[in-house]
Amino acid sequence: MLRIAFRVPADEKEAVLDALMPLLAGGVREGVEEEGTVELAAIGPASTLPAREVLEAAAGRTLAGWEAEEVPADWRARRARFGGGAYVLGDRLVVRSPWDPPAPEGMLEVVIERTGNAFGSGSHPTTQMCLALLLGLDVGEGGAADLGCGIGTLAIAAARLGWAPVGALDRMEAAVEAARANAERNGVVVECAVADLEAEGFPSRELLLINAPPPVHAKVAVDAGPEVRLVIVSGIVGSEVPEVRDAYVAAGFEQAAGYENDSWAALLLERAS
Amino acid sequence: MADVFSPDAAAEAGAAWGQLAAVLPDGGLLISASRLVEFNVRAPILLAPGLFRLDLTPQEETLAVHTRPLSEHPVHWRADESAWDGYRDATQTEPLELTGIFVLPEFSVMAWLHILSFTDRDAGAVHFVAKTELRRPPQ
Repeated sequence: MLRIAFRVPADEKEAVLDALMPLLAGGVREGVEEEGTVELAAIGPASTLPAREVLEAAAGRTLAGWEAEEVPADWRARRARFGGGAYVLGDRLVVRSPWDPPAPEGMLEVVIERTGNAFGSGSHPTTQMCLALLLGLDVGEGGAADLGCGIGTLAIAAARLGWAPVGALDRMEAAVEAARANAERNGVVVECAVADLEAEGFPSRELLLINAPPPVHAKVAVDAGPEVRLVIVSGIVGSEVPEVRDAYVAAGFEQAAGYENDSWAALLLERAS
Repeated sequence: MADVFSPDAAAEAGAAWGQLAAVLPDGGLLISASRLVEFNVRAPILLAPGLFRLDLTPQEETLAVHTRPLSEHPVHWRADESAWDGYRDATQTEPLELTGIFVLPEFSVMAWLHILSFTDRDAGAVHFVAKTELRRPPQ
């Protein structure tokens, strides 16, 4: 397998792709923008990738920074070398799969494997916004609970940041099993359990992390005990924010921060003093 | 401009990934293709000459849908929100559905677009089946 890569000005990327996509049938990987340019890379058998001259003629421009090298066919081997499945939050935290390269030195990392339909790989805006809000908190002494934990990403991140004890609940047994395995993979202690949050209770901890639909928030807002000081809320779209926020406000919380991304929303709610 | 209902032009445009095109019995054009796309790769799935190119970028839980316009004429896309979770949740079988209206100088064209996906995590990739039906909207 051959990997070709080149850089184009970020503001001309779409025009270049218009010219090259019909020739690069396997598609392209878009790199991170650096100094106004973005790397485009394509992988395929050498016989299927057009020559540089052909691509430059189609694009009507020189393809700067051209590289061509043999790479493994196996996607995990390529992922280990080039990455592509990691998400960097706030320049402090990397959420990655077991097949991605380790995080740069000095950065905290959460290594998670997604199994089945369980949620939390880090690719979704709600997970990323929850993590961004979590990174902005001072670590308290009253522990944390991830309600609707999926594969455990938020709980593991909280534990890695120093919150303890940390609980993780989900109604899907497969998700809880994945969360337990991921916690072990990260060397952190997370109490994982199966629970239907709409019908059962939950541990009242200083911090609640809830990336779940509005009915869960309605229940949690009513049942949150006085120990709960902070709630990170997501799993909702922008139009659902007023209803969800109002439920928490009625329970004695006030909004301290919030993000919106791709129609999704996340809020940090703090118990009013 | 190019004949947007030409099956020959559409088949030629997407020949690199085996795109098929056929005239619909009741008028209009059907363009269809299937692809296996690795996670985090942006790949062309459908190419309707003179109208749009559909690129998809599959990730673990999200699917980036790029409807790249291929002309300067106005276009309006609408997505059926009820099928949005179908990509992430394999228990849902409904296709993603989008409808586009292209306002060309002589006439308008309606594009009805369906995307089905099946994630093969061991392959680190997603199978896609996509089709679009292009028609003149009813007067």
